[in-house]
Amino acid sequence: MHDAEDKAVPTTASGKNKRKTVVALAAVVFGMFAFGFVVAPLYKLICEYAGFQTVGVSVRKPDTYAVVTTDPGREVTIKFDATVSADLPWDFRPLERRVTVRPGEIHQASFLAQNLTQVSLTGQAIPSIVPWQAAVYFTKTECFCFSRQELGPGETKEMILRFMVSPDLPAEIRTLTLSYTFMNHDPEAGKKMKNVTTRSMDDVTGPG
Amino acid sequence: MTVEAVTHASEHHGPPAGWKRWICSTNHKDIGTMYLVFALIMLFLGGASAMVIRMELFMPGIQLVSPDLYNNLVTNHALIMVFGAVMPAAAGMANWMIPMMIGAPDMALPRLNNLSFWLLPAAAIMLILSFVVPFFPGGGTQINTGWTLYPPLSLEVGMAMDFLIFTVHILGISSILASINIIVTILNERAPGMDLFKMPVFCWAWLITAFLLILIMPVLAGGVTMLLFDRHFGTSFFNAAGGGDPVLFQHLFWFFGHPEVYVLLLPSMGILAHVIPTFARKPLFGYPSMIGSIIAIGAIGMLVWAHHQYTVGMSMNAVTYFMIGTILISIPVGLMVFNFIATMWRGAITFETPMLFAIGIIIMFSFAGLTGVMLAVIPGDIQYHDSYFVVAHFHYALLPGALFGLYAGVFYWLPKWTGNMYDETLGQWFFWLTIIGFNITFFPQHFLGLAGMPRRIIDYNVVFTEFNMISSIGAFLFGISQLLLLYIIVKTVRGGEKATHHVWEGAEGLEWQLPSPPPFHTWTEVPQVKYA
Repeated sequence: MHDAEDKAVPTTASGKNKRKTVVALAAVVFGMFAFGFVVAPLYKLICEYAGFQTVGVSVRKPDTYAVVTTDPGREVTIKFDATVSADLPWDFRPLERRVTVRPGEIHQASFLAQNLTQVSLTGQAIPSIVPWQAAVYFTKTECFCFSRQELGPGETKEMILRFMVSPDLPAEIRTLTLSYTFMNHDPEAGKKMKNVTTRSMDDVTGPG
Repeated sequence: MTVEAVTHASEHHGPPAGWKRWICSTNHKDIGTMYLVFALIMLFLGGASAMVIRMELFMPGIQLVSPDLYNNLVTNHALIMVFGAVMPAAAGMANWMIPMMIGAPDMALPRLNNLSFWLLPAAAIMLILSFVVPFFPGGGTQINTGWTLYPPLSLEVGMAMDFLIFTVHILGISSILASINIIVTILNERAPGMDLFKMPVFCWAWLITAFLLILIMPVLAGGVTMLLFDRHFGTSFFNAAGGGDPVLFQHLFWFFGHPEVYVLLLPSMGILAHVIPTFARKPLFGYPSMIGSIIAIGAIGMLVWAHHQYTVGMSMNAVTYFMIGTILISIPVGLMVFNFIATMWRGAITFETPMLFAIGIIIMFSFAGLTGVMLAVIPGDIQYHDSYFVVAHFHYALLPGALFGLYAGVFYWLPKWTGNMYDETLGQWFFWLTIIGFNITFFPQHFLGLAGMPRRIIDYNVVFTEFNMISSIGAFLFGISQLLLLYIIVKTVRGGEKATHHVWEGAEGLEWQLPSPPPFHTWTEVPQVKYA
């Protein structure tokens, strides 16, 4: 066995070359592992630097809307959808399933959230818009999703959303679905809630 | 090509006796054999899960397994076939053939070679544990995500997912070490006169494959590490509630996953570049363009990953870029296929089993290329996304493109490895049963997909019943015919007509100047390579 290994390194020059190659390749491996972690922040930096518009993020300045005029004939239907993640025992629904709005006007919609447990819980709503191409034309001036929402034991709260659809919305889009998912802000507390069905919610006491 | 210092059979010593020969092996031939045996075992394990999937899909409704177990089988089938069968088989052939082809006495880093093989059984055990733990109380849910392991679903799975994450880590380390070894061997251990641009195509294919692996495996390792941290340490890489984004995982996964397709494909294309000239009795047509297309496939392949994610909501500019990039890949792939066809043109072709596989591959892989271009086009893809059309496409790409290429390699080199000729009649039976079974299995799935049958779902609409039955019957034929492969290999290892040094009259290269089977140590005296 040793003979084979010794012969694999006939001269020291070749041994050095081998070591050099191994070191370079190992550097590539570690570099690529790090690349996986920096790729997301790097992408954001590059987009900001180059001025690329990333989807779902409105990079328009507010003054773009200062001069908007309403196209009197045009109407867009907004459908509301509300869900709660499995680890947050809340009831959450829109007061109106759908509204018809005119682009350029500010509208208000309300959602109703109720804490079904006997403990105080904090949630964070995550929005999503379908079709996604419409996301940049949808502006919220006020939203319960801008901050965490805390609900006391059994508390019910109206959640307010003020929004405007831009007149620049492509003509072929006539219906938008706006969906909110409430997530438990504290994953540890959420784990305890996960296997509890809403029916036995009244039995749930403090977290610990 | 001629060799001046023709080998003497290595006189000093043979392999050490007993189990130490295998556990402590640093010999490239023994490690290659272990890789190949491991791959064969995994092929049957992955095949068994495919059989259960096809049995379940024989009829609509839920008959054999639960939905979660079904999805776990789908996950395991993919992971076992990709990481357990195809990659180790290709690595086994690299181990056996590269040192013999370039005139090196062994791999450059023999102990590392031992480590990269022995990590594989450890990974296999971890993978099996991930399948087994959900059957025990407190074991949590089964891995129902598919091999892509997308969050948020993969954040919800029980502890089985942690076993799987460590499986991926171990597999990654194994592939990275093996790749470093192959690159160092090819760059530093070539015999004098063996120019990089005169090197056999199989070595070139593996050089590019190994580079791809060291670029992509660490990214996958990083992705699953983030998954692990999100699951247990409260980070929010992919958790939307904490400001993360599940789409990031998709990008990391496919940054690995798309080049991985070429990792599976290229070694097999390298094998074809030896098989086709041998049986057409003509030198390979367009060697420089062949090398060029391998490099181009590797390079472009690194930059088009997001065509797997057209439907997640990227900007129009981004998807357009990924579409154009993806379609561009068909140019070097097409060039490669044309080179193979031009090599056969007016050749004195004989149709031994490896050549039959090679011709079958050219036809069926081109078909996958065609559906690949269909899938690359954004509006088309949005229609076909996550349907059985995709399943049919990638099975046409990966079975001919990877597995059948390895089969061609097995039949081509088995006489060299064992010193015995395989049974040609049985080999041809195996070819035809495999090809017919394969096409009956996967061709109808194109239609199922176009008609709207989604993938990764245990049940289906009754209108899909007939084509699913045809597909399942094909799969059973395909599955059973693989037992014939096992029989042929065992029979050849145990004996048979003795093979000559040259084995095939049209074969060219250093490896054919060694005896069959080659002695334990070869090219201990460095050969001088001269090209005519």
